[in-house]
Amino acid sequence: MKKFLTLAWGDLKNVTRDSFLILIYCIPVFIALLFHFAVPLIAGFVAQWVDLMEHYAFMMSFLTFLTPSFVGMVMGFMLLDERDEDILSYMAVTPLSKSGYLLYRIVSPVIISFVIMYLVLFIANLTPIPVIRLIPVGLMAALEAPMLALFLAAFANNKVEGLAIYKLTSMIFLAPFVGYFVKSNWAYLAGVLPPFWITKAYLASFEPYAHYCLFIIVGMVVHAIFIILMLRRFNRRIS
Amino acid sequence: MIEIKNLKYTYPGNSEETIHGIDFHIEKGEIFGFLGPSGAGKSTTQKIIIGILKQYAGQVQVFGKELRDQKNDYYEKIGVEFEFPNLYTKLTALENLRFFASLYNGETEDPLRLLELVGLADDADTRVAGYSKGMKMRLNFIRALLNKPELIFLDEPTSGLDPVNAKNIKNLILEKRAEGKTVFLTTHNMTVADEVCDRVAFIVDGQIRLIDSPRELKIRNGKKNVRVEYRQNGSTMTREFAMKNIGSNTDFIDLIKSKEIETIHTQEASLEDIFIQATGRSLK
Repeated sequence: MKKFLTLAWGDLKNVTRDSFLILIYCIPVFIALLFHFAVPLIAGFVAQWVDLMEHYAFMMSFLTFLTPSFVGMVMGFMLLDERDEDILSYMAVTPLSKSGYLLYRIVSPVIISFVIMYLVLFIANLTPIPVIRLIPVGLMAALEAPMLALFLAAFANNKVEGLAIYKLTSMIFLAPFVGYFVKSNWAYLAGVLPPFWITKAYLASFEPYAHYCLFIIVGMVVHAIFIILMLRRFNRRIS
Repeated sequence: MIEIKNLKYTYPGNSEETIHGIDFHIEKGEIFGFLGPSGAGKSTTQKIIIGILKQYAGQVQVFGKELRDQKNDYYEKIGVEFEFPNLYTKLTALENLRFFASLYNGETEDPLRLLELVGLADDADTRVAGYSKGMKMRLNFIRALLNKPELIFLDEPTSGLDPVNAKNIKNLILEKRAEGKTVFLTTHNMTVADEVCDRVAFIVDGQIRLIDSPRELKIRNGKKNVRVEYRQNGSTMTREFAMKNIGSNTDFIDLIKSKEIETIHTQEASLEDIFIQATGRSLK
């Protein structure tokens, strides 16, 4: 535990000394403010053509995976730095060990994402927030962060490539739109992409338990599979 | 301290062995030099002993226990300096040392004292990104001492350092030996090896060709002669004498009595000569 706090302290120092990383952390909060102030105004303007309020819950679900995606980007860049500076070799010869270090790199973005996600949802506050039933959904969404971080660190050679790859990964955020707007069962094909299940589970939090539980379980499994694949790939890359 | 028997290693995906069955042992309190050209298997061997490469064949015992059976507390007892400084460049030197120190459960050195040892105390609060290569190397060196390790692994500890700092690092290595610590030093710098190592091993193509103390090697492989340089008629002349019975060699005694002597040297071999002789390779 002491070691994890040390690593968190190091991360905090590293982030606060890089204005780009601070900026990325602020983006979800900006978007949440935008949702809070701008969306109701826009909804008023377009009310005669379309009822935006009907889609508020979907917009809120969007925020749940948006937050971890930015946290994942920050963590991915930090991993790239640590890979370039070869910090990992040193971690491997301390009592923390490489596996302890990788565990931290998976757990810490989950915790950070989870906390920021709640904050962001409360700021946006477009619909009532299912506080308790959001916990498993939030945890699942938070898994996006280590998944993306490892993806960046496994495939990018430097930060510029990291940024390009991050843009590419944002394609996976089309999956929730498919899940929401396509009513056919074919939409479940988009379920190979993890964010699909976050929206499904989020929206199901307002409904009876049956679907909700199923979405949580399948979503967790899909995320776990992706994280394991990325971790393997990253491990090969650094050894 | 370290006992290696018939160690073999093949990198995953390679068909050929990198280390072909090497044997050596290192006593407690000894500075052991591991010398060889690039690609000889020096770093591979070190990576095996520090537990980074795990799928080795043969026996590697450290602290009397097979490496495979060591737990994470193994890392409480060893200190490792990598060849290239791997530090957080956005953190200051002091922050780096404090950060890495807190990864250990055991007692650690005072970071400021360590910085003082290598003349970095005044730059303790400078971010490592602003350090020169030599400063990073010195910081990298003292980090290996943070956890008061019993066994210290150093990889090219003086590379990129000016003569004054290189000398200081060599003295610190000798101090560690005086404290009873064991040092495993990987290098291709023969001068460093000659100056600090109790014994050296020459490794080429994944095999150890020779192990002995630098002094023994130099005497055994040298000519048992003395070379005298002296002035005569405005120019420098040279003569060699056998060292056997040199005290009763009248030619020699006459020469040093009558001429203006410039230098007198015994003709022991240099470590570099011996290396080339033993391995058929030069140290690149």
